[in-house]
Amino acid sequence: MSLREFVSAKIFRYDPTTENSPRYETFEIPFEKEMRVLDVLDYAAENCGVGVGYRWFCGVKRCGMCGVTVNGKPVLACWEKAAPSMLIEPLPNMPVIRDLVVDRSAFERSTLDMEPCLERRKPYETFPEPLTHADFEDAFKLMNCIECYVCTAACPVFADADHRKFAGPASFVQLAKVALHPKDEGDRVALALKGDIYACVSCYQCSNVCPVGINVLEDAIEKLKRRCAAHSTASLETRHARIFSDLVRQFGRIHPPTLMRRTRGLLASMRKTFLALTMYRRGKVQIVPRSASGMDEIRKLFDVVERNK
Amino acid sequence: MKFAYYPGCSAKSTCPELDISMKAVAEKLDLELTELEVAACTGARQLRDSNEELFLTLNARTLALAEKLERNVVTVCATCLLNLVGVNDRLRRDAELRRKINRNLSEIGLQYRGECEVTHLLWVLLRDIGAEALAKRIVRPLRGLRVAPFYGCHILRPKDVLGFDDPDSPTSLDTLIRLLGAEPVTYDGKKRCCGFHVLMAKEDVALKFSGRRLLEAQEAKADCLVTTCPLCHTSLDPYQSAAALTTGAKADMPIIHLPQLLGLGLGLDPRELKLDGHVVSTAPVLEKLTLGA
Repeated sequence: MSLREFVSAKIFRYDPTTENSPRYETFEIPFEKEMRVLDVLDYAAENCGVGVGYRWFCGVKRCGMCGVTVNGKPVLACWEKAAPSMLIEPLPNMPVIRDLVVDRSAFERSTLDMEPCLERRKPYETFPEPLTHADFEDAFKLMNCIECYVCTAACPVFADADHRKFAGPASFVQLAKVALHPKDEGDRVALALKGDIYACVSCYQCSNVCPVGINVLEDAIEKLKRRCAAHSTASLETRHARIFSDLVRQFGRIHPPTLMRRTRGLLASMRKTFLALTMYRRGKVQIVPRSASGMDEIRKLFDVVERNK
Repeated sequence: MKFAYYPGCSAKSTCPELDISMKAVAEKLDLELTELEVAACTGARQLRDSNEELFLTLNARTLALAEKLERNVVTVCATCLLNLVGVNDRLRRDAELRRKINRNLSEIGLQYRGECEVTHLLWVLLRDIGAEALAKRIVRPLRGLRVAPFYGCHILRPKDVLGFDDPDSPTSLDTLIRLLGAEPVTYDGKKRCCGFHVLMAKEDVALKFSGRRLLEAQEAKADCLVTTCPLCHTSLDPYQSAAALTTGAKADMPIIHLPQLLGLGLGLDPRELKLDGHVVSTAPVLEKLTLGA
């Protein structure tokens, strides 16, 4: 008889109605070929007699209900391969209902706040309306989203309790889905700013964990930010992007003290005087911006792109 | 090995010690660098977040300049790396986009054919020079030094564009630290974000990120932290005392650029690596290596 391989699964257990704090239980589960995390949970629930709570419905990466954290990474249980040793916990930043089942209502509220419904104000000119695949491409990429909220669970900004205003990547995907729809007429810029889109740190954790392969940062958040930059001068952040671009046009590269002064204003920048002096003493501040050579070419390209608009 | 060297804005302003140490280690390792002095900023996040065509055009110009020199681009900034690799990838895959961007470049007499590769110093060390050859160059093993590897988001993610290391459990920088004879510490923060990209517009968000990274590295008992990106360095070094306040971390963690740590292992003098050019003193590291002044 050959030795059977086992999977060691340390599972988060917690029933807030009867227990004061979470605990962990470890199960040794016989490994099967192509075993997934969901199979491990099924086995633990059916054969270990302890009734582990977890949520799933389709088992094939469609319903988006089986998100859990495995060894620190938010994943879909139905799609993630079982590893020899796993720490299985609920998705972070959500209240636990029981064991691995979390209350998703904060995620869902955040999406509802983004009002992700197509908005039409003008009457249809023709019916059916002409709509090409190319028109639809950007929005279509996001229609693969299964609303599993694994990206939001992985987002370090959403995790910060002080930034609950931040809608989170999954909700921005839902917003971008309508914002990028060629027929949408809603004020998506206002919603993106309301969701504090500029608190996004561009770390790509959302893109990294998306089970259906959406590059959440580039295909949703970044495209929304571009919309904001083009249509709003209201916020400090959109102004900052404009100032950044103007500096590149002026000098070819960024001169950090000028960027700060123009973004925050002279008075607010003065609060950094001590830091600036310390940095100056270490050779980290150049008083006068140095231009890149080749400025003629750089400015010419700015003009060419402006003209193409 | 010959490269077109793209230092990026930070290495030319806030982190001159990065540019200086990169040039010093390149000479030591016989990497011939031709600096792309006429290249523009890659746009960090701000320019790419606001004007896509301009972002593509300026980076295509940089790639075309390197292509003209018949050299691949090497950079020491993770954000510049991702911008250049990402633009290169899109221009190569999408012929129509390349035609459109080349129409812009033709106004300054340039064309990009898509033949240039973009790489980072860390990748050159491990992929082009190779661990074995590099190990032979280490004349001053950094024994006993506990180093917190700090990868930086844009050298790891998105994986399908960058592809060099595993974003979930990266090993390249750990490997390099071991090659140098030092000990990489294990801590949760190594693949996480320093917050730099919101430092100017949302400083409170950014400082909490860097504050947490500092605390994690301290709890892992690191002697210093090594970065592959000057933007991470800026969040963690000049802004260290402000960042530390957000988490109660101590503000005494030396933050060392990758070529500086490498340079120490290659036997270079700390002054040649401008290790005195930081806000947080690197003296404890040098003392530990008995290189103190």
